[in-house]
Amino acid sequence: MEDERIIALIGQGKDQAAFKALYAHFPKVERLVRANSGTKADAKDVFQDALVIFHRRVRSVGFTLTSSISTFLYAICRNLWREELRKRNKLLTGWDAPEVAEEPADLAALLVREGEFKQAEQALRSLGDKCLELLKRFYLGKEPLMAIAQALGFAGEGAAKTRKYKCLEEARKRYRSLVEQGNTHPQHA
Amino acid sequence: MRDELHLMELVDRYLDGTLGAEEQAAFEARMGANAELRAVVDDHRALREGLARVPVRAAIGSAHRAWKWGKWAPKIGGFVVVAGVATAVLLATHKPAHRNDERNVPIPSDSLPDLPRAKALADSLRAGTPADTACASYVVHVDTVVQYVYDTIGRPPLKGSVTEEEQDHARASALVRDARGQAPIAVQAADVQPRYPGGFDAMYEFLKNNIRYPENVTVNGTVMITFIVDEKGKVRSAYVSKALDPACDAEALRVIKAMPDWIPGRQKGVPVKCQVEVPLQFNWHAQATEQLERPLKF
Repeated sequence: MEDERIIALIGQGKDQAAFKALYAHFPKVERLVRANSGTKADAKDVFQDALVIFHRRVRSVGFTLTSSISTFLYAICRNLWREELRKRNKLLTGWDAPEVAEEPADLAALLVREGEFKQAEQALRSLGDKCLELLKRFYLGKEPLMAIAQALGFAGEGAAKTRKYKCLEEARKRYRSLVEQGNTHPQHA
Repeated sequence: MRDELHLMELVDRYLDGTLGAEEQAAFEARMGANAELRAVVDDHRALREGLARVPVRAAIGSAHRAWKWGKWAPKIGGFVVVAGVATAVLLATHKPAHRNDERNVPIPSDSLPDLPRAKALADSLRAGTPADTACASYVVHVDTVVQYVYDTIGRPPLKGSVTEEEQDHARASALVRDARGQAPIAVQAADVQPRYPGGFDAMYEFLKNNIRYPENVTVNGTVMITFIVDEKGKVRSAYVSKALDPACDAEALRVIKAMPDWIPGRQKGVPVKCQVEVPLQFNWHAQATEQLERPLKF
């Protein structure tokens, strides 16, 4: 599928179709990761993180594609994996991944910001289903609290609002603690 | 609480850009003077971004599975030796009356179902609704199992030693076992089943990280551990309801007993004791040893 068509799909909200097409780029990323002390699972994680980043980039205001999707994804994955190895203190062995000439200039800054958003995402996903559902409906679905209260079985709008506050505070707490742990990478099995 | 709720609303409207010009200026002045408030707003900004990514990642997961199936299609039907996998599936307790229910799609126990059929089975279970919602439990906690099948494809139990096809077969077979209703009767009626904190994924992670495959054991099979989650969520009275091998049984029992407290099941809002069964599948392929960096450990 051509790059323009994939981007159009994302613009139309047809995310799953776009991602399925983007998976054509996975084998190259898998080779990169496995050639540099990574496993198949690592490759999958890196690639999926890159897809999230790519998606958010495309959806951001004023996006235009300056290089091919292939080089863009590859550049993201290369940098993500390198950073991961650095965190695991495994960058000592030879790093064998050709630099891509067209790496976007603001890539480093983008990845730092995206790293924080990923931690926020993890904090939210670790919440209970009801919390996450409430927050998704409110912020993504833009549903009014009254409707959410009815759908999720809260006593009323007030109860939903209080619960939303508590869920957000819990998410914030977990997000903060992930950020604090950020520099000390947990032992990887 | 009222102040906190009011502040939350202000932050929401500020980030939405729906504060009036004066209100916005006032809020920004407050932020300028108060580092803690600035931190709160930044955190909320990050959380909104994180929230937006949750459905994106879910779509990516689906696309990954679709892509994998596309790769897989020619291989379905081939016999695959399953290597070094331990899987765990949460089973809700089950009333015997449902066992002959036509919702249970009959699948021969000796065939290792491939994923499309496992999916068809899960879908048919999902389509049916329990005849008596007040009864002790459902045949299978359908959402959990289906979620399990879909979410754990591709997740490696052991790095470098097990192919994804082998994992999928193991999981599909676990799904079929569940569907045929192997669980015994519930201890008490419960309209909400007990839940491992963080859900099924987290339980899988815990078991994966804590199970120590017994050395010098090359047996294949499943150990079934039955236990009670009491009203406080504590795991109690764990026993081996289906044995495999003494070493595997002991390890399965150990790791189940080591689980942290669950969220108890409830009947009409009141916590109750519930019985849960978890099958742990032990499979071993001799070749796996040399590919591992360290002794077999999940």
